[in-house]
Amino acid sequence: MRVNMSTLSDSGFEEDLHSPAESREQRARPRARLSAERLHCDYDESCFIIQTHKQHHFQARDCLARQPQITAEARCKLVSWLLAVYKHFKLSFESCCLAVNIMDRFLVTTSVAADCFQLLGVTSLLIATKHVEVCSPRIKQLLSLCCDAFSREQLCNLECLVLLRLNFRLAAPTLAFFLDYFISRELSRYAIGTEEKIPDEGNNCRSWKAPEEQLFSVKRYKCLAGKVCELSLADYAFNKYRPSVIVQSALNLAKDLLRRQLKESSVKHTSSSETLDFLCGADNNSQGLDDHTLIQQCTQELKLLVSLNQESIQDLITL
Amino acid sequence: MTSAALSFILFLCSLSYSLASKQQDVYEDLWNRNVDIAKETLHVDFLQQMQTNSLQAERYINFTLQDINYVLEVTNMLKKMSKKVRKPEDIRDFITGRYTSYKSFLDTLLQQYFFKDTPPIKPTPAMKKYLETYSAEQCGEKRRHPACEKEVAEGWSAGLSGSFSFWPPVPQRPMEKMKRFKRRLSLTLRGSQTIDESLSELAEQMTIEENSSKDSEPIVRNGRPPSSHSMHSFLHQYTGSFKKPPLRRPHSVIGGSLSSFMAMPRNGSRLDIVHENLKMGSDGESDQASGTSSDEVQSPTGVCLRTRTHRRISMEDVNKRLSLPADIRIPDGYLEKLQLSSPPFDQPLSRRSRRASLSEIGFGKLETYIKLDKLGEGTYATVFKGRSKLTDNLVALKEIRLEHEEGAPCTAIREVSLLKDLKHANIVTLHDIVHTEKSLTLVFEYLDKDLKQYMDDCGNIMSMHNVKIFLFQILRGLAYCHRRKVLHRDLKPQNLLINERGELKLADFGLARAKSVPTKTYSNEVVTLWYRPPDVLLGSSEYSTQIDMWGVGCIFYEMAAGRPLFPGSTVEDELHLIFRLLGTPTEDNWPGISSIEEFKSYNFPKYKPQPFINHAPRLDTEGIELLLSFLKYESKKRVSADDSMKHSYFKSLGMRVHTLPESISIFTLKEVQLQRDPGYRNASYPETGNSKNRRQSMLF
Repeated sequence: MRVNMSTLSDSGFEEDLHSPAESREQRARPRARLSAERLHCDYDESCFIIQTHKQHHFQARDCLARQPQITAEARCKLVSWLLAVYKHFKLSFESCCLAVNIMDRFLVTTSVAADCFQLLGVTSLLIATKHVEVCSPRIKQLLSLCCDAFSREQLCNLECLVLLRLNFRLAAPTLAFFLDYFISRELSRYAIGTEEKIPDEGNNCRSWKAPEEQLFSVKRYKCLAGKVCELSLADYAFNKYRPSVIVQSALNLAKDLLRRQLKESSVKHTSSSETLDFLCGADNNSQGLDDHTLIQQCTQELKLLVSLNQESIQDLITL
Repeated sequence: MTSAALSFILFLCSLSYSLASKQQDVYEDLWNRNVDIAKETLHVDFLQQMQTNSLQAERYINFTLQDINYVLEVTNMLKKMSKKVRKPEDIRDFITGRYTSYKSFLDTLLQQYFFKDTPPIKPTPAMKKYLETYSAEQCGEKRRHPACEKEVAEGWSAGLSGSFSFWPPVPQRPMEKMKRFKRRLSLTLRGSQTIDESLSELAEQMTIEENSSKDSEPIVRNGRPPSSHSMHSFLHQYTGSFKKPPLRRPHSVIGGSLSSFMAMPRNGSRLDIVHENLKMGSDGESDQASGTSSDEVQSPTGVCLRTRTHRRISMEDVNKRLSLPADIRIPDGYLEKLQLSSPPFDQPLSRRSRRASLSEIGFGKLETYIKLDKLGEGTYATVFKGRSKLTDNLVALKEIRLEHEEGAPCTAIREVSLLKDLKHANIVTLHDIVHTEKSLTLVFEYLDKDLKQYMDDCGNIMSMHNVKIFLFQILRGLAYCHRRKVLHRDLKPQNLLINERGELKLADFGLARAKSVPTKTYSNEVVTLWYRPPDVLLGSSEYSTQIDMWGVGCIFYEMAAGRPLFPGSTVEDELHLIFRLLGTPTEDNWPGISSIEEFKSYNFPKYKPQPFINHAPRLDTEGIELLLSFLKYESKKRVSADDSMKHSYFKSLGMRVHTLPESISIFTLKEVQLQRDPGYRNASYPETGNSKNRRQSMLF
């Protein structure tokens, strides 16, 4: 590791940058990555902790509890529609999660008439994309997706109202963030794991021989987990869970589903199943800061949700 | 106690974690102590209410530190008097029935103890004796703050008592008996006292009922792990056993179906979406929008504790009740109005009416700020220098026009939402947001110059010691942002503002964004050319926190050498300048460079890296070493802001700069002092030609 570092450095100053104490520490820890990469992880870690703790303030539990006209069914319909809209504009999942969060938090502060609910949804999406995306969709496009039932003026007014009611607090931790964080953490652990495997069992490491297949199964794992998260957005029952809990549950469920399917299918995919086994192993070591029983409970509910919506994930499972 | 109390502790702990991840040693004592106290004194119902209403909880954040101090004080008083307190029902009503927030409860409680004229709890002889001997008792011991030197502690606790979220810590003046009293009290009580049995006795008296814990009870559905290996049967098993489908076919609903039955009344511009009469229980933020009338300054329940004689309301009382900074000015007439329209002063102020009175005093109102000169104008915004009538301080008013085709500009939305979360001594403070029909005005603290002007004013010869202090402050602010995954993305001397004390603050977060997806592609037209890293110049759209670090290196050089490092006019020119100094990159120091099409097409000559000492003779070897670690070609090799602060170049600043709380300026430390810049011209009124162009940075 150490040798690696000095050959990669592009100036003579690299070594001097690290105090002797630090380098000793690095040698002591065999898993330490290149210094810069490691620092990167530190930022990831601190950001994760900050986001995890921020969740309280952005969670909109029981946002429909005091709404006279909006029901959970209406919310489900609207969010499902928003999911379609975000795909239509090829936006990031992040903005979609944020839009739902903005909408929910606004619902906590203000009662909304049923006939304006869609306008609220589309306004939330606009605000979220303005916050997240490089280019947000044009107001005209959004309005036309609502069959021009609303005017530009109404949308702009509501936009201001939402911003003021939320007191401009928009940087909510989202499902997308945690999904990304947990997956990249698992993958980096996996990468370290395989590196260590090569010298140890050099003659017998199937997992190293089929990188393409591995990549494929990892990709599928990501997609599936993402899809489960997406489904959970639309279901009001999941508002009571924090995003980090939902994501961890979704990942557990995705692993579970894929493992089952692999067992079922054939012996061909041994490498993929090994990948997954590894992911599971990594996952048992330590998870986030959330309550374990809560995650289990959420996983159960997600299972039910997925089983009710099999059609939508059909193509992801049966590959 | 119950699980509710436990979860409250968790809530507090997490709060303390996020607030004080860096200065845990400073806060630890306080937090642990208060968790105990909160557990003992606060009513379970209220805790639960706080738990369930997360939005409310969000608002408590702004007050927590101060509130904790209140809790501390009140508990200690209660502790001493508990045995003489009246019926337990009184206390329970006191907490749950009449007060919408525990802050107002504590407020009232405090007042009732301090203003003895109308106490709801009859002063027993013991209490009277206690109150009389109280101050004498306090003078005895004086505790030093656990982690910081005295002046830091002063600033810190001043920050605690200025509670309105966007107010900067104001140095507290001993103007007000009450405040002094409280402060002394809290300093003393932070000491080694523990909660003794008298407190738990009180808790028993209060007859806190054990609440059934709904939340934390693990509801494990009785589903056995399905034994089937087939996924479909596995899923079906679940479908069969449960009742109502929460979500069916999520994408079957299309755009038309919702709007088809919507008959939207379009009466003018006002949206008819909010039923005011159905207004929800959420107090607070909404009031600003809905406008305020004086009769809102009322007790939320309308229940008077008892009829009281009107006491004269002094300015100090008003300040205290609203937890405003000590030097605030209240418009004429406000006091009279309060005297006339509001209920007796001892009445608790709910959060909502507090908000209302804040607005009455002038927060969130355009009239509160006087526009002075215009500092600059851009497509979306105009920046004015202004003065706040409340504090008499100068402010920068950034007026954003909202009558834009696409609604509120995204730069404004991002800037406000990010700055709301960024509270740091080296990041510009957003004081207030004023919303009118046509514009949104952001009220920032006013800083005299930006770094560009500062360098101009000292003839581009800065003291090397000052360079070090400024660089450290840049890194400190940036490290704070990066830890939150916020990239600035537009670092340049014009965006670094400096006040007379030498405090440097990062400004203009219009291009920054909370970065949460690491491989997100942004547009690559963001960083001003001179401070742009080569990977961005070559079209890389993968951004990480390291893109800010190249710019830091360029600014560092510019401060030390007095001229910009790479003042290129085009992308090619810029790259050429970089390569001529640092050497044309190769696969060795930039893996993958040879496969970048742009790089190949420019066909740069093969330059050799030049020794830096010839270009920045005033930098010592440590400085050059640090500079080079910012200027690495491969972005992930660049040193991070956090690590660069620990570089030996900064050793002369001492170790204490690393342990300062986030909101404390480094100039509170004695060892950090600005030196006189060698080239400084005495320009106390910088009405020079370039004053017109300054603060361009604040424009979009």
